[in-house]
Amino acid sequence: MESYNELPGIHSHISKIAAQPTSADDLHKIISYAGIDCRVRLFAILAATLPSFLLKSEITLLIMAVFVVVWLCVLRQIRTAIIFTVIYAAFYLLQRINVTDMAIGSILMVLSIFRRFMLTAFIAMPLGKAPTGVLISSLSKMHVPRQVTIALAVMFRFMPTVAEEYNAIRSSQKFRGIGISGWGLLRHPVRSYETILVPLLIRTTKIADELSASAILRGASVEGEVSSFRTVRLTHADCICLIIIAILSAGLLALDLLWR
Amino acid sequence: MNKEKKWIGFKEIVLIALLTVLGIVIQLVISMPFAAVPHLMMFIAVAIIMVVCGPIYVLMLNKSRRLGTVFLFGGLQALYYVIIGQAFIAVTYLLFGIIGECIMLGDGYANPKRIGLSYILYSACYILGSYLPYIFLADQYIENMSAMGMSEQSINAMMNLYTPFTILLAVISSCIFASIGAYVGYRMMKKHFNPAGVM
Amino acid sequence: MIKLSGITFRYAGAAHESESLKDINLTVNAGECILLTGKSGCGKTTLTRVLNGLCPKFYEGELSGEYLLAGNDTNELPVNEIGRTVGSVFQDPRSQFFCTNTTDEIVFSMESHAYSQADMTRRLESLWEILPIQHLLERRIFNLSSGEKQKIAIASVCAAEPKVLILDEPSANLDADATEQLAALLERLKRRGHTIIISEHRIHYLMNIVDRMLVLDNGRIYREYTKEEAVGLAENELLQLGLRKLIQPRFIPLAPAKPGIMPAAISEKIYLQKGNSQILQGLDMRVFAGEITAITGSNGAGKTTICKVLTGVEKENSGTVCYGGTILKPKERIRNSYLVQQDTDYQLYAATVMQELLIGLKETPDIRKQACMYLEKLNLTEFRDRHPASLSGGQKQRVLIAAALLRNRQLIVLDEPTSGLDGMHMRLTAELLSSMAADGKTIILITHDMELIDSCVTRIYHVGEGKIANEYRIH
Repeated sequence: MESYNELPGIHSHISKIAAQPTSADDLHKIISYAGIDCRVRLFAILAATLPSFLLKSEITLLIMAVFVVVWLCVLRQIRTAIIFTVIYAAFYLLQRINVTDMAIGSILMVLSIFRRFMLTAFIAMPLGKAPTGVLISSLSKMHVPRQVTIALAVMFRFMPTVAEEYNAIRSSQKFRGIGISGWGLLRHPVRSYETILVPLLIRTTKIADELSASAILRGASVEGEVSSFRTVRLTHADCICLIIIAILSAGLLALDLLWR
Repeated sequence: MNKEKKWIGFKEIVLIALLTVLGIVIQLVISMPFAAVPHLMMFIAVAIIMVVCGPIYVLMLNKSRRLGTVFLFGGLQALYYVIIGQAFIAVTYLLFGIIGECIMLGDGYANPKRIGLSYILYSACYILGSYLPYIFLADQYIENMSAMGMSEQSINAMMNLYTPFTILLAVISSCIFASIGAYVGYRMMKKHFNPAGVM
Repeated sequence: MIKLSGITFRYAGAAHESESLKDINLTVNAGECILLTGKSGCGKTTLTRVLNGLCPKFYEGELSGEYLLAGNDTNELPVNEIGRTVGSVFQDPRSQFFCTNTTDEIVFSMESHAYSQADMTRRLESLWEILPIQHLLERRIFNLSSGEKQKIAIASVCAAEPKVLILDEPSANLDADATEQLAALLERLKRRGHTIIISEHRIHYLMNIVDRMLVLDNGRIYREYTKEEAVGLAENELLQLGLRKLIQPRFIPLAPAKPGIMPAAISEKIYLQKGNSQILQGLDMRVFAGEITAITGSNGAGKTTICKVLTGVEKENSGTVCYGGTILKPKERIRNSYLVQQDTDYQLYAATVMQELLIGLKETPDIRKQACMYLEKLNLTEFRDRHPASLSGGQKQRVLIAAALLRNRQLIVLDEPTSGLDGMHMRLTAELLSSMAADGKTIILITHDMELIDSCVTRIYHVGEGKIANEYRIH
């Protein structure tokens, strides 16, 4: 592409360009989105709800945990899969420790409730990580009202940034002598509360204003049909996934019944 | 044209979604240290959550003065709980959304008392949604816990906690703290949000 | 293309009284490039909001007068219709991104208007010719640099090929390289026939592209210049208008600092790694009391990280930081320095300016008197009981500086203190910083603002690859 040479300072990018889309074929690859459809991801979440609640034996729960790891890997979220494995294993092992003290014992027992919660929570992660356009298209194909899809998209978009905003507020507070350490925060609860929550809320409303202004100007509030750049449809892979998930879910429940 | 102005539009939806995310994250963060100790969780954690989230709710309802705000707030939380696999709580929040919105019909959003009332309802639904299952599905929970290795002592301790009586106490406690939270919310509006030009 | 006749606008609610417009008459022809500039609060932002329809339909207020867009009366048009013709790029790309994925963000506008897939592909390819962002497709928006974020924001707005483009302070967060690229891009857009309206303080990079420059003051069009007239403006005229200079100063390399003078702060062999990247690699830096030191370098070189380590906000992996000869741990550094970060929204917590200064301190009558003195010194006394969040960017900066002075911090670091300021306020800041340095404080600035450096900086450290690459001094 000759136009690159006209731009100063672009050379650092050239090495990356070789591996990036430049032609119509590559655009085509983006258009035919390769990941598992959002509807399947949603189905996985729903299919996991009953088992996570009803399963009794540790073995079936463990099998379910393995399925969660496989699901995360299929969706290419390796890091999440590793985090899940580590935490689940840690909680499982902690529970095996025979503790005589009642208080610590009951705390460790609560970890078991956590493990169940983790099963569904981590299955939900791929839905949040799906590219926004894909999410919106899939949901509108399910005839979800546009207001709900927009709200969901915004929620998934901003969930990762809440931690950033909090850290930004805290780091500059330290210079005023507020909560240089965590304990400092707890010692002045009212002050900590006000000085963290107020800028957080003011910032959030500012973001809300700017975000909706920008989106409205780009046509987001238009009622009626919208199109999708990516072709979002249930592929063979998606259907197979659906069937497998359904079988796994039912199978786990049946296995659990037999085991007792 | 006037009819359109009554219902939430794009701008309000974005605001509600953002504030709801903030509320959910704050609830998670506050619950975490208490999660291992159910008694404290039921009373202390909920109290803190209700007071802390008061300003968020008050800000949200006052900035978006349109019908559908409470319903969307409840509905989004319901969706969130469905997604993380807690279907029973989800149903409670959906009910909150519907009933809460009914409270706000007419000129509700201009009326601080009604806003406070809907927030109190929210806190009640929070408790009921989290703890009623322990009553209705008690057997299931007991089996779950014993299968995971909990001693009979611990299980009894927990189930003794989740009785209709204590849940009622928890509801009353959360309602009280919710009204405190709403009050704090209005104070904050007067002290910060209005002078800052946010509204 | 655009015709404003007698446009007068006032925001509903008193907080924005100063940003109203009074009787604006403006005609912009298709393909023209107009620069809007002026002092802070002159109404530039409000004018851009009237042009893209946000005022009065999004930001409520009273609008009178006529706005004809391509012959149509905008009163009749809903906001998204105006948005089809007028694309707007806002100042902060972060809060403009609706999607988590760059590709989705770019096609967002086209999807909302229900273009067919073939149309979208065609427009994307046409966009690539002037704005090569292929390497940025299919990325998460969270990890982009600020220059990259801005490219995506511009791409997102240009994808639907609006006839008019409005940009609000596009160069605010860009380094010198990126600003050049931006100028080149704007030129290509103009050649394609877009009508461009830019609201800016930093006007030097636009002088080749604009057709007309409008200086606003108090909501009115104060002066209008053609390109030739604008370029020919003498320095004192620019100063009078409160604008920034058109010519950028140059620097000469400096021999390293003389030994014998005790530095106020030294950092030695600092290494810091975050995630996969080694941000700081063997940083050695000395800063001296009574001097204003500037840290420059392209975005992402690690300037902010250097300052965070120096002030103790971040902990280094290895290496030491000394203040006045004593090695200090991060928490101790925080107690003895002050970092004024770029985004003031995260740094203001109290309900009044006075309380903002006093937060975290014991409120004795003595301290209160001192606080009042600093408010006076920094021209903030009239804002004493105002809510900090209602102040302008420059005023918020001064509140933070007052807080630092009140706490007697000897080392004060400022991250891009003038990035949104007009010429007049930038010079005021330079004066303030000079007087603080004359009082014996050690001041460090991270800045791209060449004019600021020219006005008050004595030593420049240029950062590259995680350490000081060069040391400069103003001649």
